[in-house]
Amino acid sequence: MTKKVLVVDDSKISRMFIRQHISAKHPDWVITEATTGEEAIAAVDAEQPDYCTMDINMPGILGTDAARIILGKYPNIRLVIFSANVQETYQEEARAMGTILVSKPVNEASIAQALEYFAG
Amino acid sequence: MKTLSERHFDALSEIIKNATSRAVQGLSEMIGESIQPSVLKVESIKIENVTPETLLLKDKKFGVLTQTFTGLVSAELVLLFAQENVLQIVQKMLGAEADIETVQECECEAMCELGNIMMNAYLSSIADTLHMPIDSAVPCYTTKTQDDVTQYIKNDTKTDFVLASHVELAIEQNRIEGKLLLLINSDSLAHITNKIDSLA
Repeated sequence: MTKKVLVVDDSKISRMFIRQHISAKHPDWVITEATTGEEAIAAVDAEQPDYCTMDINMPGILGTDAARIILGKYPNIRLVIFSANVQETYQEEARAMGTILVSKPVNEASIAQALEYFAG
Repeated sequence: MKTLSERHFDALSEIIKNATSRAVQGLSEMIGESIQPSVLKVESIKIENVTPETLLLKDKKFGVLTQTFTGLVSAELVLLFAQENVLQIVQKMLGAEADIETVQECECEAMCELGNIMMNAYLSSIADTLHMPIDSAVPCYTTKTQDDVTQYIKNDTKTDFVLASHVELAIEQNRIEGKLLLLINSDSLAHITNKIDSLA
């Protein structure tokens, strides 16, 4: 079944890697991108994706803040915090929001972790 | 300006070595290759003593990543690779199929992402070891000469010390040298040593 995925990261390279790995596993999924938390919130309002990957450190609001807003409005979206910032405080914050923090770098193993979470 | 006691320097060295190892692991995962770090040396350099020689800057030009962070401790982290190694690293990140034009076009973005991975791994390790949350900014990438690097550090009026990690990395047959320089002031260093004392 086709799913819609929103990839949120200010790094073009990171978005490229996430897209490549997800497409390799699910070529039929529709992948859109956002480069800031604010863009992500607008994109979710417009497209209501099934899944979302969210970086933390981006220009503008933190990805964790954007995730909180998105999950507050759309609790059925499966959202994964995908970040290099794996401090315990952020891991706890992700758990408290009802999501998970997957450690970068983006590779087959980390994408597999995200896809497993998406599948519930 | 108070210098570090031997006990504090020993403890901090260990913390920085672990943090540097985590950063190197991030690089290894990024390029999909096992990396053997060696000659891991940590030293503390007072800002007035910063020169290309004391920083062991052997190459003429460097790819330089900088990232500031705040919290109970405020500091700046500088990650250096010799410029001749940078495109090699970017090639490995993008894969052998990426042509040279693509590698050159992606150099800045790829190095920023690498810096994001390595420097956040380093900072997360320190933050978790000391139980001190750290907020980090987005990393910046540029190229600098030896003198540019030295001047950049000395121009930072908030810095009193440089805590330097010198690492040699063996990737395939190539030897790559990296440096992680933590630019920190006396107040932040005092917070860290107080934390070390409270955890002992």
